[in-house]
Amino acid sequence: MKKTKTFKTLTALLLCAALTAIPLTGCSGSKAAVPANAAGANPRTITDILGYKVTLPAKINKIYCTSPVGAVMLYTVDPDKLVSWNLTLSDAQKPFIKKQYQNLPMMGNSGTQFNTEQIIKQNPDIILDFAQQGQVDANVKQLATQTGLPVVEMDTSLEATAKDYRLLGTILGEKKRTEELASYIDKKQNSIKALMDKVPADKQASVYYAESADGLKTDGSDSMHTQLLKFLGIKNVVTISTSQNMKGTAVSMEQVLNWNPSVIIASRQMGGDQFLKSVYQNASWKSISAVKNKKVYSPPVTPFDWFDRPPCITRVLGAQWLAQTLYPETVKIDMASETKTFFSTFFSVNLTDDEVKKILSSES
Amino acid sequence: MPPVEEFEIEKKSALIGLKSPLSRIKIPIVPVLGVLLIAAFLFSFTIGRYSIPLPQLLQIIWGKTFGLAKSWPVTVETVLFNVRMPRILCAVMVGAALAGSGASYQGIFKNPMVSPDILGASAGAGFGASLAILLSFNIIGIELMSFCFGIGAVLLTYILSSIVGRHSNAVLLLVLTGMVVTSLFNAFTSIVKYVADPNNKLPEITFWLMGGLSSITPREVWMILFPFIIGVVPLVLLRWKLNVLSFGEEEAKALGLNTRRVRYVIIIASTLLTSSAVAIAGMVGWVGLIIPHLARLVAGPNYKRLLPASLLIGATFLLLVDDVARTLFTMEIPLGILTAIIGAPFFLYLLLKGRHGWE
Amino acid sequence: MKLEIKNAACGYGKKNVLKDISVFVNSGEILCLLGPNGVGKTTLFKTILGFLSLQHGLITLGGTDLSTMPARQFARKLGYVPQAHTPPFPFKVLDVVVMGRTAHMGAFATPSKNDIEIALSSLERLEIGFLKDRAYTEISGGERQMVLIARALTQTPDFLVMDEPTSSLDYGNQIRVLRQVCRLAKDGLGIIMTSHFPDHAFLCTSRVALIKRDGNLVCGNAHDVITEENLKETYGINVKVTEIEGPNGEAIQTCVPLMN
Repeated sequence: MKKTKTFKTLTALLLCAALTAIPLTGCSGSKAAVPANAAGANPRTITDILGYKVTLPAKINKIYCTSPVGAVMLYTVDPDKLVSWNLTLSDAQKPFIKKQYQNLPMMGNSGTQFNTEQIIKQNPDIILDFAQQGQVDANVKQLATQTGLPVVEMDTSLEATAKDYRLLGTILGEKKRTEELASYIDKKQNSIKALMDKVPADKQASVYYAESADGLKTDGSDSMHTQLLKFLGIKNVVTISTSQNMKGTAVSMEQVLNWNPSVIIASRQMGGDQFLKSVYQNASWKSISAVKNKKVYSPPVTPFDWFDRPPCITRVLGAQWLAQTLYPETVKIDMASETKTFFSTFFSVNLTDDEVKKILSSES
Repeated sequence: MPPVEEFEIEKKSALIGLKSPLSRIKIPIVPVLGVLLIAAFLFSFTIGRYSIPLPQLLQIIWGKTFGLAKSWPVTVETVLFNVRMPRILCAVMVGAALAGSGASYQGIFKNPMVSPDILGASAGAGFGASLAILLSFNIIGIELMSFCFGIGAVLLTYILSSIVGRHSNAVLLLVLTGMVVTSLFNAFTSIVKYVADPNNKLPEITFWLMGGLSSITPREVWMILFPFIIGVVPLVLLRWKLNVLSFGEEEAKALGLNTRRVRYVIIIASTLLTSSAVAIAGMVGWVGLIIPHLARLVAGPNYKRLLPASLLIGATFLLLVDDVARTLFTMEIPLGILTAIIGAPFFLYLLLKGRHGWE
Repeated sequence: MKLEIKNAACGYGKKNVLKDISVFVNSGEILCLLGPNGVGKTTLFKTILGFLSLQHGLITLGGTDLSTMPARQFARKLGYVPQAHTPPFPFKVLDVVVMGRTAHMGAFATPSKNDIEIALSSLERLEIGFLKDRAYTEISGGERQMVLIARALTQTPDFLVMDEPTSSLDYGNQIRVLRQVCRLAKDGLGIIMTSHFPDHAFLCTSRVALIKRDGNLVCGNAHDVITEENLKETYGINVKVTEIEGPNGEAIQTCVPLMN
């Protein structure tokens, strides 16, 4: 009786072990290249940002982007080629997007799932994907296999933004517009980096990035979510390695009190607007240096978040905003003017002074 | 009775290898557990990511008790009374609430495999919170929605079971409709997660569902205190009746118990406890299932001692687990994950050793 | 005191199983309910205990209609002894027996010293006092049956209603249980019990109610009801009813089944 029991238990344990091993092997995240697919008439080969050789058709009419990162970029270059935004534009965002592109259909995104048939129906020529930290999502690979379309990989890192634009120019076969935007980005990024270098050591801020209603969800210095901080060389108090997933990492109130950041950057998303409303009244947060000195800042979100979520080209403007907000004595730039220029250059929108003021303020 | 029979029994027990519960030894279990909880509470007060030297901690408590002038940093006081104290109080209440309702349900449903989720309270509360997050409610709104939907789900279970049958086995029917309602609300939660923006709402929902006490402020202590007291008191008062109920509907009735009324009160009390626990702590599993078993090993199956033992052990357990969640690493470990990591293997151990509180 | 069933019809919901049942038991008497499987003994039983509603007729105890009695009062007058089974938790025998005091305890009470005393004396009465600290789930079937009787006695009822108290017991335990039942009747309790063994009815019952296959009830002394014709009609087998001489010269009636 006892022997059978032991045998049964062992079998059950082995079965459990086997079942857990299966999904784990699937998560190995191999760096195998995206399958090469048929590319239509007059194909040409380009090398994408991750180094893969991709064969493309000569003329690109429509591009399906797997996430808003690509969609925003493509919109600023040639919106007619955009198939979908991968999200539903809010009423606050729509005024800054040209009317005919406001209601593009949603067909999924790399964060959840793709509606493959819907995508194929739109007849895109290529898929544009932004791999995170060099890893291509499994469902993007699936989409490529199902649709038979070539996939071009780009990089979400801020340093690569100009390079991404130039590659897009090569892909579209039209480099004028992309060169214009890439040069703008190069200029602004180099200038802001130079200014940041001038910040005296004793004035360096230590930043805590809050992205939740209770303010206790954050990301570490190696996370893609806080890339903007790394780009500008700003110290993130969270130095531990945090997971790269979409959620962020939870910390305790005591831990934040321990770190005592001099600045808090609070995202308005993920419930963060609740945090912003209450942080100065909250007894637990009051003793933190950033709260005491009223240094809690919220990145603007128009028309897309300037800090993260999605990590798109508005971060170029976000870098200027962040540098200037943190170090106004050293980084002497006119944010209102920079905002106007960015919007007219990238989105072809001319902002009024009032509009600029509203965008830069903490109102969402 | 002839000695032959007696001998048979002793032989049988030895073969099965079962030992009778420790309750035979005359130690006052419940007071001992009470002392353990107090010790755990005091201990938890002294640990945390923000290190406070013990002398300073004692100085502050002394000072506050006697209203002395503040000679300590405000931050330290904030940590102790605004962050740590509310959190450990909530851990105690949530642990007790889940264990107490688990133990009660095991009695009503005559099944040691039952957990407080059986009638749908957790699934409903989870859905309520997810929906509230999707609709951008503030923290209080999320907690209230969660609480209300938890209660609503159990109400639905009750209504469905009374519509389905009045002559059938009332308890079995509750279990079945409970399963239906749980699946239903889990499905609704999945829909909410599907519709939610993966960059924005979905991570918020996922965090909430993983369970944790990191957002606890003094406000949450008040929010859970009243449902907790209203829930725990009837359970403690009616605990002996649970012994009778566990023998089955017919026997309990024949012994003179108003089974419908007693079951009613116990389910309402347990639902209040479970819903309020989930509303402030998210989905924390295993406590409601495991702790009553542990309590049964220590205090025996008689609910007179089992219920208080479950409450005390549940409180101590969750308190200590939350201590680990908030101090072990720089980042918080979600409570639901810790209770599963500790709970599941422990349960397996209990099964393997044959040390379970039932036949 | 008399427990009387008058023109009762019983069944489940709208379905009727038995009709026109009239039978009674007095204090100090044992009424044995016999009949084949499925004829409705359990249905009648459950109706007496109030688990099923009476479809027609009246059941009274000491003149009071049982259906109007609240559960607490009912339990103080009628003690139910079910067939021994395994509960989900290993309660101590004493704890099980004390549960009989439920009808006498307050809504939020736990058993008092007095309640425990009564429980202990019930155990002693049935000569199983040595079992009090044992786990109910660890004792033998016969002992469990006795514990359940003790529990019913703790209710200090006037009547006991016993559901096949000797089924699933070994030969020795069957007789031991019957002996206790006889003693309880002699002490003044009225007892109704169902049984599958007609010869047990000879051993200690005053009266027998035999429900035949057609639903007709024959009631009377064991001697008058348990006849070879009735048994053949009810169970469909040949039986010889005979008398033997006991060790003290007394006449013991018994029935012996014939294999052809």
